[in-house]
Amino acid sequence: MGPILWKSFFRSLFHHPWQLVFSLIGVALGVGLVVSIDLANDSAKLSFKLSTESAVGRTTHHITGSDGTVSADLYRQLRIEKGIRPSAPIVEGYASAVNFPGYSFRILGIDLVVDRPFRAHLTGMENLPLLDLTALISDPGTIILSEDMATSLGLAVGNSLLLRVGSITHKTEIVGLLKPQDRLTKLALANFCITDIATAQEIFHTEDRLHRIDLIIADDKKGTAQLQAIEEFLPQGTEIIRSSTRAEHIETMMRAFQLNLTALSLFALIVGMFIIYNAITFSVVRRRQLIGTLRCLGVTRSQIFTLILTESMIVGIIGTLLGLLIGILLGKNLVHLVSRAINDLYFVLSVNSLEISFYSIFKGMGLGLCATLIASLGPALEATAASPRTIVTRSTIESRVQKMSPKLALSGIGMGVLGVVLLSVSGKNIILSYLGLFIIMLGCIMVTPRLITSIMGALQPIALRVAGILGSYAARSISTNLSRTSIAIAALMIALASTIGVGVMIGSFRTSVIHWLDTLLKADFYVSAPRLVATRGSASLDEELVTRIRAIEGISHVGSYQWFDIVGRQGRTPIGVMEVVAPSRKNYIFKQGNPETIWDTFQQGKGVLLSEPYAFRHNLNAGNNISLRTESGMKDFPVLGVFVSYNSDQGVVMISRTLFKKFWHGKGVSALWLYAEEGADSGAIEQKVRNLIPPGQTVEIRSNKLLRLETLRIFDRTFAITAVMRLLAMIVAFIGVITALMALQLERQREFGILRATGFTPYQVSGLILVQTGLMGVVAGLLAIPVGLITALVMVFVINRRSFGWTLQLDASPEIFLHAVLLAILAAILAGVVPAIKIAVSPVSAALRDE
Amino acid sequence: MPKTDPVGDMQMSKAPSLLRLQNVSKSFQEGSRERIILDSVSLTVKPGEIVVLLGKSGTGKTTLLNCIGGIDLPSDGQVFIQETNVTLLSEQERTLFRRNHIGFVFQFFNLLPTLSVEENVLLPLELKKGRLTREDRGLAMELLDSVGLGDRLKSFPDRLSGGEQQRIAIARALVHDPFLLLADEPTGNLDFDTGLQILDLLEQLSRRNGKTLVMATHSREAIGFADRILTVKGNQLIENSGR
Repeated sequence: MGPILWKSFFRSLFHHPWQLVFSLIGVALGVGLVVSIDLANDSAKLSFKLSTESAVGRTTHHITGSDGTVSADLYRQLRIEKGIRPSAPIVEGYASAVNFPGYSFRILGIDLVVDRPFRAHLTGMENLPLLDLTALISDPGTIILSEDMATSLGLAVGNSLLLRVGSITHKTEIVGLLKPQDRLTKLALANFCITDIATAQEIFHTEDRLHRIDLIIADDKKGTAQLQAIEEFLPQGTEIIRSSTRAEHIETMMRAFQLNLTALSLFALIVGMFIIYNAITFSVVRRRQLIGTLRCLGVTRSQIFTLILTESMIVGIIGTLLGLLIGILLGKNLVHLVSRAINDLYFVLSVNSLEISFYSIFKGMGLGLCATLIASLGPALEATAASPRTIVTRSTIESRVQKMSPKLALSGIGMGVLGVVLLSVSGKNIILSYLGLFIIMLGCIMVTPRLITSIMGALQPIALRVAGILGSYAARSISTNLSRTSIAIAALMIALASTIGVGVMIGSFRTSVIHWLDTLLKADFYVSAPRLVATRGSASLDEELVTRIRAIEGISHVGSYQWFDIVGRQGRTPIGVMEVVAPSRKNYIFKQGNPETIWDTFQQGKGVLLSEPYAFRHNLNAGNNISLRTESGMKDFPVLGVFVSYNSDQGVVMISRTLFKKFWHGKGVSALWLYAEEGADSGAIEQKVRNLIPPGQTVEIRSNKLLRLETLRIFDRTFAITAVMRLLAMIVAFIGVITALMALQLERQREFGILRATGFTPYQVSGLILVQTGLMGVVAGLLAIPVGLITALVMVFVINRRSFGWTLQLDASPEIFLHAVLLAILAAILAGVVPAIKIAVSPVSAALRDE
Repeated sequence: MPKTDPVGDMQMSKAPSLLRLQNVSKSFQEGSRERIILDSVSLTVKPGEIVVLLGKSGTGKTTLLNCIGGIDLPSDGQVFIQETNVTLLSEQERTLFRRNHIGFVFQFFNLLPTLSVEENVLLPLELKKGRLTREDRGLAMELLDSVGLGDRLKSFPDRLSGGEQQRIAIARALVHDPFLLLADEPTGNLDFDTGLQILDLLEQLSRRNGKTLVMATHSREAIGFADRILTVKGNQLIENSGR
């Protein structure tokens, strides 16, 4: 194709710059949202991966115990008696920096003498002078930080750093700084705090126990034999696992959470695709004269197709590039929300910056360009399929759409059925569930044109009666411009439906959590050690403090709770050790099992209880047996019941203290709940507890009301990212609808000019425009109600259940629907303002000329 | 129906005709009923002839031109241009045929608003030849001079009057040296004097370049320029006496 042909097409892009801007906005916002979530997710994953890799180093396997610890003697026996080298003891965990709120450190306690083969990048001589290492071994309470972190906190060698683990604060001294040379190592070590194993044991209160023993075992025959020898030597309750297993399990934990965020961002891209589709269709319709003339002059269909696609791809490329920029800027803010939600829900994660991965950028580019291509194919094919004669007539397009709408509606119903079938056969697969939902939504879109015709047909006589011919004209022109109005209405409807769906899902979740908390939190006070992960309190309270609290006068019952994990080849099993007291028994809602008899059997240690998500994830029911690794090897325990718990989406296996003492090692409790005697002064009891806390210890004491409030605050915080995504998707929809409707009205300037010429006042024409866009908003809002409800039902009962295993009570608050309808009307009316002003201020002759 | 080769040299026409319509019918579906526009129309036009199609609005003049130019296909019958049976060509072949051998002049000018005057005229040449040479530009310049707009090369259509736009459209229709020039109401959107000038220009250029011109119009003034006058009436083509 020659340059003049290209010019003939592309110059028109700049003749209507607002149209170009609308298209760019559509692509840019859609891509921006997807990229931002992708980058935030990737940054969180990368941070976790690098941090884990740094801690693991060249370790191939590690030995760990059923309660997450092994005896230090085992290490000595392995190293000295069995001669297993290289081997290294590890004590590690997380601590918060007392003087720097929001900062937490991954403390890695190592034996500097034997650790070099494992983590030379941390302790290598190129990194640290010999003096630092000597100080770390000889002086207790000494640590090494990364230089970057120390600088950002204003700390230097010789300064002290207060670290809190559980309720106890430890004073440490910085004796050296790690100076990683490359960017990735800097990132990996950002929140590392390296210390000698003895100091780590003191900080984590593990005494003569280690968290694991690291090994380097060659991947050859000799290594296999060595592995077998170690396995034979290991006492019951300990296990040797590949070092990668742990990281894989943790990554699996985050998968559903991250997948749901990605799906939400894809909603925005779909709305963005509507904007592109609308913009390209508009540009084709607007240039039907030009295309018709070109076809008459001998330009072939394929040349027209190439011109349209090239034009849209140019818009797609520029829009995608802008989208990438938006994605990076937005991602910088979202990464904190994502990492905070992961911190609240799963594990301690410190993400200090957004990592811009090329993979995410390419993925974003690919998505943006594919979305543009898919959205442009329809209009491009439409322009090329028609004969040169029919391109010139707009009515041809409209009559074809009118004729197609019943068939389209039938196909839409078929799609809906297909979506439902897919949902019912997709098992626990979340991606297929979302695909089912998308197909249902697509079905709803396909039904939209037919519904618009019916609704407008019904509205027309009413409009005629209320506002005369003007009113009837306003309603009718929505049906007669169906090719354009149905796209705008469908885009708005889908955007609103998805926000209704997400809104109802969050609302249902919140209502279910409130109901659960109201039933569960019946004790007068809750005492716990500060926790780093909101949903898991693995830190222990000081034993002496617990004993003294139990002895306080005026307290009738004291219940306790302790978390620990069994980490093994099968993954990570969260265990909750519960001391149930009589008043607590009725605080649990059971999905399975007999609440009347369950507790006695449980207290006797004759079985375990499962939280609903755990039972769902592992396909377990009351009456089944669950196999758990104990200190005396694998043991089967009967499942006595399944209880409702929204504490963690990973779920928990609850065991009694009796059972714990019998099969596991360890002591301490993470939380206590206290019931005051009847008539006792609860204020005085709280004060007595506070008085017992020794200096240097931090203990949280909360009433049930305060704990309920704080739990809900954490709940809202974990959903902050979802709410932000919902808001952003709404903004995209809002802009999309404004652009689509505005384009539609601006295209009709000539028609409005004719109305003005025939005697309509500027106010009448402006009113007509606003009534039309307003009506479209009403229709979109009304259609969004059933579609939103369907979306909500799928999200609450299918996607949420499959992602997290929770059964939620549906809370379809009317406010959510009302907001959606009002938003639709507001967006639609706003979209009419610019064209209304334009027609009001421009001379009639100009409007008549406008083409 | 005789067999014909759609694009090649054809046995169909032994007479020296440039355009031959053989029993061409055209109807449109309007709701449930069929509306007949042309009913078995036949016509032969010799090379270099100027034929004027008269008739009231809605009688089928544009439809006939569209069928001749391959923009539309007749419901029945055949259209031969220079021995090529246009009705047997595929859509793609008709497009290429139009590109190479037919020039169009429309009532509403249909200049491409995004191209300058010079580019509008050069476009058919570019489509035909792929790449433009200096000679091509010279030819366009020459044509623009001959329509009196050699000084408006860089202007855009929205800066030109209706008469000027139609003159550009005539130059565009001739630039790629077509067999056949089709003009659909070329003066329909112009005032009387300008209309006469355009008709004059069309005649002059067609005759000077030896082009066959078929012009649909309801302007009686066009009669003075025609070799043959035909009237479209009652779905039929009626031959009037020449000038």
